[in-house]
Amino acid sequence: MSDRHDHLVGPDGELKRHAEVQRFDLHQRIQHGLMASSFTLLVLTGWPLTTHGVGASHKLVEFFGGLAGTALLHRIAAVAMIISAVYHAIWLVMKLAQGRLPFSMLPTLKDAKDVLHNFSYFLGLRKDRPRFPRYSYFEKFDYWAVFWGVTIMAGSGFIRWFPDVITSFTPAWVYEIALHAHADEGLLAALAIFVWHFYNVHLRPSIFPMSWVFITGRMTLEELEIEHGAEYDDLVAGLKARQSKDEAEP
Amino acid sequence: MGARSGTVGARGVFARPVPLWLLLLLGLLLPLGAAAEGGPGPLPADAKYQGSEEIAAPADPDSLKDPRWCRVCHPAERFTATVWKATAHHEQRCTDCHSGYHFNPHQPVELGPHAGQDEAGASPERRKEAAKARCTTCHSENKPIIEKVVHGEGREGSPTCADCHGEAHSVVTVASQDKLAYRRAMNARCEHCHADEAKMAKVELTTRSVDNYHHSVHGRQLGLGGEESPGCVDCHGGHQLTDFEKDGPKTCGECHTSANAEFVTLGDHRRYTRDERPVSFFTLKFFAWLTFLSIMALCVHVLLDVLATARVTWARRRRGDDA
Repeated sequence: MSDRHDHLVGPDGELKRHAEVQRFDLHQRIQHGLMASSFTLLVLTGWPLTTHGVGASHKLVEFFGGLAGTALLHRIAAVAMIISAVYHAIWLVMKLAQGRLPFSMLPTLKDAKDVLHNFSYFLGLRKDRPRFPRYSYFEKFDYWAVFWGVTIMAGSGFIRWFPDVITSFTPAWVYEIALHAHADEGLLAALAIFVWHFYNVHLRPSIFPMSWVFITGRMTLEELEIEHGAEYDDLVAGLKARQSKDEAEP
Repeated sequence: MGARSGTVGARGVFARPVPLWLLLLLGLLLPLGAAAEGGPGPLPADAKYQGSEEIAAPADPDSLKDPRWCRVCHPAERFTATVWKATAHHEQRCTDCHSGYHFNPHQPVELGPHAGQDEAGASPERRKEAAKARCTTCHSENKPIIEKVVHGEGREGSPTCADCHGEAHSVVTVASQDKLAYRRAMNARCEHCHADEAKMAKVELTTRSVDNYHHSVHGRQLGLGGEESPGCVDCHGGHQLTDFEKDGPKTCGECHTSANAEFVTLGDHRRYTRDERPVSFFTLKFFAWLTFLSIMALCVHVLLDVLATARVTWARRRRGDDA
C-alpha cells in the first residue's frame, strides 16, 4: 500500500473512519462534469421535439430562445459530450501507456455473483448486501451504457444533423433508423440517468441527499465500507500488511 | 411610466386623420355630386353615409363606387376602413370585384342594387366559379396555371382562390405576415380538405399526408414555433404543384443542399407501417421494447432496493438497535 494511504491510519495504528480516500482524479471529475452538463442540456433541448404536443415542450423551446436557439444549443452540447468522450478515451490510453490502467471497469464473474447476491438480499434471503468491488455491477452498467449510448446517440445525431449528406451515399432507411433510434435512445438514457443513476448514487438511503464524490473525488472510509466493501477490505488488508512489514523492518 | 402614457395620449389626439367638419362636408357634397352627374338618383332620406374614417378609395365624381356607400347597407366591422386597410385588397373598392350592380334603391326589389347578379340564388359551385372569375380579372397571370393543375379543374369540391388564400375581404399579403403565422394559416387551409376523410375519399385520396406531416420533423418543428420549418406549400408549391418525381431533389435542395432522389423518399408521407415503411416500423418496435424492458428492469431494481432498505431499517428499529 502506497504512502497516499498513510493519512488513513492514526498514530496508534487505528483506522480513521472519517478520513477520506481519493476515488476519482481531476481528469475523471472533469470528464464526468462535462458529460453530466452536456447530457442534461441535450435532454432538455432534445425533449421538446420528441414530445412536441405537450405544453411543457413549448415552454422549454421558448426558454432556450425559440426553435433555432434550442437546436443550436443541442448541437453545442452534443459537441461538448463528444469532447468529453474523446477526453476519456485519451485518458484511458495515457493510463494504459503508463501501465496504470486497473481494468476495474471490466465485468467479472464476481459481478454476476453480486447480482444474484443483491437480489437474494432484496428478497430477504440474505442478511447483507454484497461487498462490492471498486465498481459495483450497477456502476459498471452505467459506464458501459454510456459507451453504447454515446456511440448510438452521436452516430444517429450526426445522421440527423446532415440527412442530405448521409443519403447521398447510403439508402434512405439508414436515416430512418437514426431518426427513431435517436429519439428512443434519448428517452432511455434520460430515464436511466434521472431515475436509476440518481437513485443509485444520490438518493439511496445510505447516501441521501447527495454524494459529493463526483465533485471532490473523495469518499470517507466509512462510506467506502458501505458502498464498496470488497475494495475496503483490500485496502484495509493492504494497510495491515504494510503495518506488520513496517514493524518487522523498522 | 407617466411619460410613456403621456406620449400615447398625445399621439391619440393626432391620430384622427381627417377633421370632422371635412367629413361632414364630404357627406353633404357626395350625394349632391352624384345627383348632378345624372347618377341613379338620390338616396333614401334615412340613408347615412357610413364613413367616419378616410378610406383608400378616392372619392371621385363617380362616387357611387365609393365603398362608403356600400357600407350603408353592409355595415359589417370587416368593411370599415381601419380593418379594410390591413388587408391585401385595401386599394380595391367593393365594385372592383362586385361589378355590374345597378345601384338604384328606387327600383323595385327584383331590380334593386343587386339586380343583374345571377349568383345570389345560385349554387355554391356556381358562386365559386364566379368568384374565381373575379379574382382572375386582376390576378390574370394565374389563370393559365390554375386551370392546368388538379386544384383548378373545377370538379365538385375542388377549391377556389379563397379556399386557399383566405376570404377575399380578409386576405392579407404574405409579406405582411409573421412567417410562422403564415405557414400555420396556410397549413390549416390545406388541412381543411386534406384532413377531411370524407372529402379525400371522394377524390380517392387519404388523410395520411396530414397525419404523417404532424409526426415528421418538419411538422414537429412548425408546431414548436420553428418559423423556418416548412409547411405544406413550401414543398408542394402553390398553383403549380410540385412534381416530386421530376423536381424532388431541386425542391428539397432549397434547404438540404445535397438532396438527391434517395433523400426525397424520406419526405413521401408514407406511414410507419409494416408494409409502407418496414425499416421504420421494425426500428420503432425494437427501440420501444428495448426502452420499455430496460427501464422496467432498472425501476424494479430501484424499487426492490427501496423495499429491502425499508425492511432492514424496520427490523433494526424493532430490535431497538437505533436506541
